[in-house]
Amino acid sequence: MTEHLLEVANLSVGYSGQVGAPAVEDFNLCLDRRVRLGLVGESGSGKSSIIKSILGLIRPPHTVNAKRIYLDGVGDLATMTPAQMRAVRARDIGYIGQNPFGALHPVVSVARQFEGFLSDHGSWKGRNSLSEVGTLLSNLGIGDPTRVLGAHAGELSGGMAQRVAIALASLLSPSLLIADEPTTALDVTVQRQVLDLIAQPRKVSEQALLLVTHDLSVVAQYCDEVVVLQLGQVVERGPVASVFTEPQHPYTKKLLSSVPGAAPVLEAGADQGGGVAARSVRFRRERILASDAPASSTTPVMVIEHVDKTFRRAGTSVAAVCDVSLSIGRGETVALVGESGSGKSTLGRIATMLERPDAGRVALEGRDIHNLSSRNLRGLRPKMQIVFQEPYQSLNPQLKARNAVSEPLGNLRPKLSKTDIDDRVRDAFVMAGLNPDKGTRYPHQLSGGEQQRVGIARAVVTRPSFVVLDEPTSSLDLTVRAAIVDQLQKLQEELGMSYLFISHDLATAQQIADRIVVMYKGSIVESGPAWKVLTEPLHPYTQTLSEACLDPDPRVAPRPRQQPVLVGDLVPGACPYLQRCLRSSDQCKSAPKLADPVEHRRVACFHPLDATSVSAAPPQALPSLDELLVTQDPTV
Amino acid sequence: MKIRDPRLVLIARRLAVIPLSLLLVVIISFLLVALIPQSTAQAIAGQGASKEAVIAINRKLGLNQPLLTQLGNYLDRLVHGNLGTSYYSDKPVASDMLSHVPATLELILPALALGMLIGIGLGTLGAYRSGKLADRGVRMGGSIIQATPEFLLGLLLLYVLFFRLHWLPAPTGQLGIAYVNPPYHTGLLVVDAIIAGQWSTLGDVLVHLVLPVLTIALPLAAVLARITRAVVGKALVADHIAYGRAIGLKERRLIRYALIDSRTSLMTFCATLFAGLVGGDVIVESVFNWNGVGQWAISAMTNLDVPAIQGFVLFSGIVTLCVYIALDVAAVTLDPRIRLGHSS
Repeated sequence: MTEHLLEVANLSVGYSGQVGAPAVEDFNLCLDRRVRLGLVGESGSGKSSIIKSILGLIRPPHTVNAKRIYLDGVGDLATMTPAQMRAVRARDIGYIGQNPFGALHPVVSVARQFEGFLSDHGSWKGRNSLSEVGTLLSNLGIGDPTRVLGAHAGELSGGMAQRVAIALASLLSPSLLIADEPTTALDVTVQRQVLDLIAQPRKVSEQALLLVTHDLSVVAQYCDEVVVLQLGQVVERGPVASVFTEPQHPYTKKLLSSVPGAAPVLEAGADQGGGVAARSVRFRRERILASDAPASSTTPVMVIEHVDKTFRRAGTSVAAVCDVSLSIGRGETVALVGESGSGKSTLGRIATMLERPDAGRVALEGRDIHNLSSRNLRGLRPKMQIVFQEPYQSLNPQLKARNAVSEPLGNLRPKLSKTDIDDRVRDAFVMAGLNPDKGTRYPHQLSGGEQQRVGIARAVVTRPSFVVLDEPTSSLDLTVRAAIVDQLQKLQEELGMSYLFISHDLATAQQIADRIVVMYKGSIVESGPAWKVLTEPLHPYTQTLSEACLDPDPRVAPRPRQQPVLVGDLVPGACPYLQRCLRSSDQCKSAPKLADPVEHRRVACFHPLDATSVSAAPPQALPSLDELLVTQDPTV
Repeated sequence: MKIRDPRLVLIARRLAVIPLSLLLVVIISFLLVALIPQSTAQAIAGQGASKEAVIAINRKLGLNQPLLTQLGNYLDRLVHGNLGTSYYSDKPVASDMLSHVPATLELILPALALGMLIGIGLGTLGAYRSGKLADRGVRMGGSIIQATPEFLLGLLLLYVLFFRLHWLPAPTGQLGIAYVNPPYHTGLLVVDAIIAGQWSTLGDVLVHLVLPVLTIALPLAAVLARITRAVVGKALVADHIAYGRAIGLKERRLIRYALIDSRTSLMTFCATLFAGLVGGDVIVESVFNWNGVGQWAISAMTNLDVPAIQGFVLFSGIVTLCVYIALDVAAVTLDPRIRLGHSS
């Protein structure tokens, strides 16, 4: 009978100055070697506090009380001094954080950071160490380790930076790896590569993984066991297979039903009103069936034609949007999907004229707006509104919620009377699902979800015909996310608004949108009915995006990943996707135009995928960390 | 998409504006003095001088010509490297002023270095021990020094260290009365004394430096400690520091990383402080009888010695410009965030 690798007994964490229940109360955990355990919970569930206590990072005046935090081969962490704990970190417990750039110093080069790390752990052996780091980096899928070692944080992509963090976490072959939301800040296409590296089933090494995440799909596909936390307490734990298929606790059920695209689980609970997402899926399906031809009969609410936008700074220029055309019908929701840097947010800002295009036409309800002066635009602002990604940052901290919502009304002509303004503001609060009594609160006195509802109330208070939703849910908790999406759809039914929904996540986009438009490096590469774009992608990039969607059902095996992504420089005049494409030919050295091979669908590719026979090339997986740990010299 | 080295672009852009900035400095310095309501000639001639004497002086100095002509003449002289002649001493302004610069440099360079050492050190300590006794002590000490007028601080230091304790010499300028200047090489007495091998002179120069340097350095340190506490405090809560702690880096390394992260901002503040000092510190120079450029400039101003004032404004302007250009180059070289065009 082997002992557990990690045993946490009766852990409680309290923060000084905090009122009410402690952040974590009486938490127990046993983790065996080779086991990958998912620690799941929303913000405030205490998951970060737990891993910080295990790492010994919570210092007075905050309090950690534990009967024991025992790590096999090391001892009881709860009784160790800060100096002893420092040595344990990285040597025995590897850590990967959420923000990939958080791992990197903005000014010190990557190589120097490895040097600092290794010398603080007494393992620096000069040039030899560096070359071993280089080998590890290239095993982690970094094509040019020398360049990365000489680089600074700002010169690396998120995926590269996270690989450097993985290298730092695994160099000393710790027996426990803690990953705190390791892919939340990464693009979906990179998410799976990183997870494949850190969370493959352990075949060779004995390393255990504690994966902290809010994303149930990640747990479903990459963990053996799961612990569900709510407000500092464990509500459910067990093997992933049984918890996901037969959740016992109502909170677990609610979490599972909030996952976008979680159809199988939903249909069982939909009748009890348990699935807010179920409602929207049904709603959207009905609408697609009702109008297969995307609103082309009436005048579109928003028309964007041949729009270009280039940003210049310090000697370089970046084409954020090039030659993009798009139209959105009345009451229609178009989702704009792409990874960071695809130009989707810029396009959203151009559609609301927060950014002026360099060239092209933008028209709202048939009227050109791209050439209007700021003063004339202000008169049109009530008709077009925007909801931002970061609810708190988009609100003025000095303005009460009520005043924030009433501000856009100032642009209405003729001016409203004071009582009319109060009525409109109250209506907007109700429409956004917010109690009007909260109007007297300041933004910091509201929760993240409430802040975003204020943002929505502010956007709909003028009864706009067109609203840009720039990732309105991506900084919110899962259950809040589903409720906000639901609210947005209800509002659309009531007011007949058109939405441009910007998202990096195909599953969420598919849940809310009638049509999906996929952008890559500033160009539209594919568009079509939401349902079809996700399930039958035509463009290789869309395929990559849809493969990146993890299924929240652990019984459904993840679709094989096509290729490791290599991102090089853009070749002028060539297809923007050329460097990453497996289907490219000589023809791709000129840029493909958007064409419509299938009705209602458009794709910019010379070699679109055949909708009926999605190619099944064998996945060329990189070696996982599991294998690397064994090949790595543990004394490095 | 054309990519040039942003560093070269930035430096070139900064160098390109130097001539224009200089011209503006010259014109402003000229106009400032020309706009003084008091008649220069009257000031030179004295209150009781006759009208004829004043007119004669005006004619002699060319002050009766239109302003634009005067400006043209002034620029013409400048182009030939001539800053004019002092109305009073009849000596060329440039050499007269430059003879006072070494004394000032000898004062402000060590003061700046000491101020940076104390200020950045204590500020970092305060940031690291935020809210603790050390932090509160540093902040209180800083506030007291900042609230003390410089002349009072100088006099207090004199009272304690010279008058009561006799640790340091009387404020007789750069040297005690028993000493003579070492042979002239650089004008910097410390350097000249070393070159001449006059070790006792060197010792005297050094002990005379202590009090005025402290008087300038302490308020500098107070300002810098405050700024450093804020800047480094922010750097210490950055993600990469929390991450570094989670992977077991030593606290000393984390503090160093925070300092490296903040060095561009700190450098900017130091350069600003330095630029403010190059004109000399009139108060300290008078308290300690220091024959520096500040004293020289203030006497030029009270005498309405127009060419000297203009020369001084031009000198401060040029030095300030150079400091800021050097700062930009250093920042671009040291900070990849600026080099890569990120706003920071």
